[in-house]
Amino acid sequence: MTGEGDQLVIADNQTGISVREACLGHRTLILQSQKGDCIAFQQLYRRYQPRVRATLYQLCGSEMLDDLLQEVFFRVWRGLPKLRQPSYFSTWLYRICWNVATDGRRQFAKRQLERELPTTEGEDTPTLDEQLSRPQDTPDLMQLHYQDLVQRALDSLSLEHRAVLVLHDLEDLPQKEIGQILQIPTGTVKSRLYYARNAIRQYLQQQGVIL
Amino acid sequence: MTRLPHDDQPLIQFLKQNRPIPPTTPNLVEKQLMQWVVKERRVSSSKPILVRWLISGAIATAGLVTWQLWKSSPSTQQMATQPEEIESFVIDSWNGTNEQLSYATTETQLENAWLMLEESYSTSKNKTNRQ
Repeated sequence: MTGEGDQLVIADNQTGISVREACLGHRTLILQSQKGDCIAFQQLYRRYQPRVRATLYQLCGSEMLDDLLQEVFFRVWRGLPKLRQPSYFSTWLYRICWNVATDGRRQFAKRQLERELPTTEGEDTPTLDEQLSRPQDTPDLMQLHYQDLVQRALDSLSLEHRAVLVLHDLEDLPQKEIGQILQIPTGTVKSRLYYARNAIRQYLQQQGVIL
Repeated sequence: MTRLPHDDQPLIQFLKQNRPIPPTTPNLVEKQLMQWVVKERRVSSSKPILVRWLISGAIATAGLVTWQLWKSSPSTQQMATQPEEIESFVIDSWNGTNEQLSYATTETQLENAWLMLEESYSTSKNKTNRQ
């Protein structure tokens, strides 16, 4: 155990990709992690972390993002020995991601209710004047403004519609896989996607975006 | 649903280009996670020993209970009465064989008697014919 602990430290100290990491394939990483190999799991985490983090961020925002990310990978580590088909790892991971996101949102909503903050909606969502007063003369700021708009447009959707849109249009997952992740029929995925796209288009157009 | 997929392309492109980028992950997140993972592994690695003890204990207990039940169950009485049943069966079957034997002997006796009668009848008949 101590040997592996040392290896972990070595892996931490390494800034680039180690030789072992480069050699280990995706399937091997999963199989090694299933056997309890912490280093293989660390590599698996590094490989999937950006996608999981982005999905969580698009579903739940920046609130509790790090906690949710850790929760996802902790559940992955615990559940890996039970995963029978490594080929379904990605779908399974997104499924966990979805479960953690829904749980996280529920907790967040509960906390918000408990706090009963006196903040009004106007504080969270900037007014039209504030939006117009944003400096949009440089491309970078324009990009930031559009990113903010997309984030708010996603926030305006229900979690179910947002999840379908994020997984399909941003994560490029096929509709069938999304159905498996969210445990809904493919027809429902299609209808939710149609609704979500229309709603987000409407929102963006209201904000002055020409599509 | 009548909208064609290519109609959505500008929207999808816009969303992809301006997708919200999450803030960079602090290194602490990975470190904490890996610490938990190692800790969890240590706990789970000590589990098999405990599980092994539990399983062997459960098997021993189950064996004892089964043995006790077997000892005190009515099936033992049945086992005890089995020789008696076998004995009675043997006696019955023996009697049956005796009966059959007796029936067979009487039958052969009758047959012999009949043959004797028939012989005596035929000899007497021959005598009368000669006369």
